[in-house]
Amino acid sequence: MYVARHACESVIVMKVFIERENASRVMKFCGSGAELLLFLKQNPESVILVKNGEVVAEDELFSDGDNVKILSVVSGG
Amino acid sequence: MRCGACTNNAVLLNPAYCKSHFVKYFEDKVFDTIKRFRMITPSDRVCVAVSGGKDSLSVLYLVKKFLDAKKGGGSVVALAINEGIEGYRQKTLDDLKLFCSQQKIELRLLSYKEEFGTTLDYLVQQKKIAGKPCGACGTFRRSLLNRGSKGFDKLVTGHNMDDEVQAIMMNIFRHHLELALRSGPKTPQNPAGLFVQRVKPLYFCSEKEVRLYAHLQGFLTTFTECPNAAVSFRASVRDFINEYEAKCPGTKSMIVQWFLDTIGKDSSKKRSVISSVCLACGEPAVGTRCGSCTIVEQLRA
Repeated sequence: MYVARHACESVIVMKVFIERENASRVMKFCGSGAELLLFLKQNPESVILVKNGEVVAEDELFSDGDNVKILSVVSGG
Repeated sequence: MRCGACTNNAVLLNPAYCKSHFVKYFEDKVFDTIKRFRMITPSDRVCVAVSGGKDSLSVLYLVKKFLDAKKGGGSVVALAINEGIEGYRQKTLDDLKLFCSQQKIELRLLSYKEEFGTTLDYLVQQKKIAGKPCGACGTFRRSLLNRGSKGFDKLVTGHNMDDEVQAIMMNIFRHHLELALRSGPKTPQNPAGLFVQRVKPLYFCSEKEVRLYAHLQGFLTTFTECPNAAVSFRASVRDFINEYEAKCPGTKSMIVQWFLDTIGKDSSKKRSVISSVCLACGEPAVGTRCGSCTIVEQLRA
C-alpha cells in the first residue's frame, strides 16, 4: 500500500498500473492526476493517464475503486 | 478541465481538447505541415518508413488519408526494417503486418541479416560495436531505407517534434554542424539523384500528442522499447528535455522554432552534397566506402 503524503479528508483506494514498469499496485490516494504522477515520480510529459479505460487529463480526480493506467509516451529506440 | 471547443472533458490540458477535437486538431496539424512544406503532392508515389510503433503507424495512416482525399493518383507503400533484435522487433512487425492488412497498404520488409549478413544482436556482442549499438544500427537503417525507397518520389519518416528537439540538442552538445544542417522537416533533393527526398509530417507533433492520437485511434495495444535504447546518448538527452518541458511548457516547440529560424533556414544551400558512391555496394558515400560497408568490413577484420 502506498499512501500520498498530503492531507486528505477522504482517502480512496485504487489500482494503478505503470506500463513502462509493467507493474500494478494498489494504493491509497487523494488528489489529482498531476499529484499522482508527482507522487509516483512520473513526468507528465512522458505519460498518458487512463482512468477506467478512458483517457483523462492531469487535473482529473479519482474515486474509490478506480482502475488507473499510466501509459508511457516513449517507445521504440 | 473542459474541452476548449465543446463541453466534453479534455483528454489533454495543453491544448485543452476532448477526444474528438484532439483528433481533428492533430490531423489538421499534420496535413497543414504537409502543405506548408510541400512535402507530398497528390500524385506522389510515397514510401513510408515504418517500425510498427506509434509514430510510424500514425504517419502511415495519415499519409494514406491525405492522398486518398486528394484523389490525385498518389500511392503509399510501407517499408519496414528487421534489425534482428530478439524479443523486440518481431512483436512490432506482427502488429505492423496486421495494421497494413487492415488498411490495405502494401508492406515491404528488408533485414540486416539478408542485406548485411548480420543482426543487431550479433553487433551488440562484438567488442568493436559494444556500448554504441545505436550508431551502427542507425547507419544500417539509413542504408536500407535508401535502398528500399528507390523509385519512389518521397520517403516519409515518423520523426516527431521530440525526436527533432533531441537531434538538435545532441548536435549542439557534440558540435555536429554538418549533421544539424541535414535535419529539418524536409531534406533537399539530391542533385545526383542518390537519395529520395525525405519528409517528416509529424515534425510539429510532440511525442505525447502522437501517443495520444495512436491510442485514441486504437493503433497500439502494447508498449515496446528497444532493449538497447537505455544506453543511448539520445535517451539521456530525452529525459533531460522532458524534465525541462515539465517545468517550462513550450520549451520543445521553442527549440524547434529557433532551429528553423536560424540553422535550418536555407540549410540546403549551406550543407555539403553527397555525390559519390561506395565502391563496394554502389550506395551513396562520403569517400570510397559507405558507413554500412565500413562496419561490415570492421566485423570481418
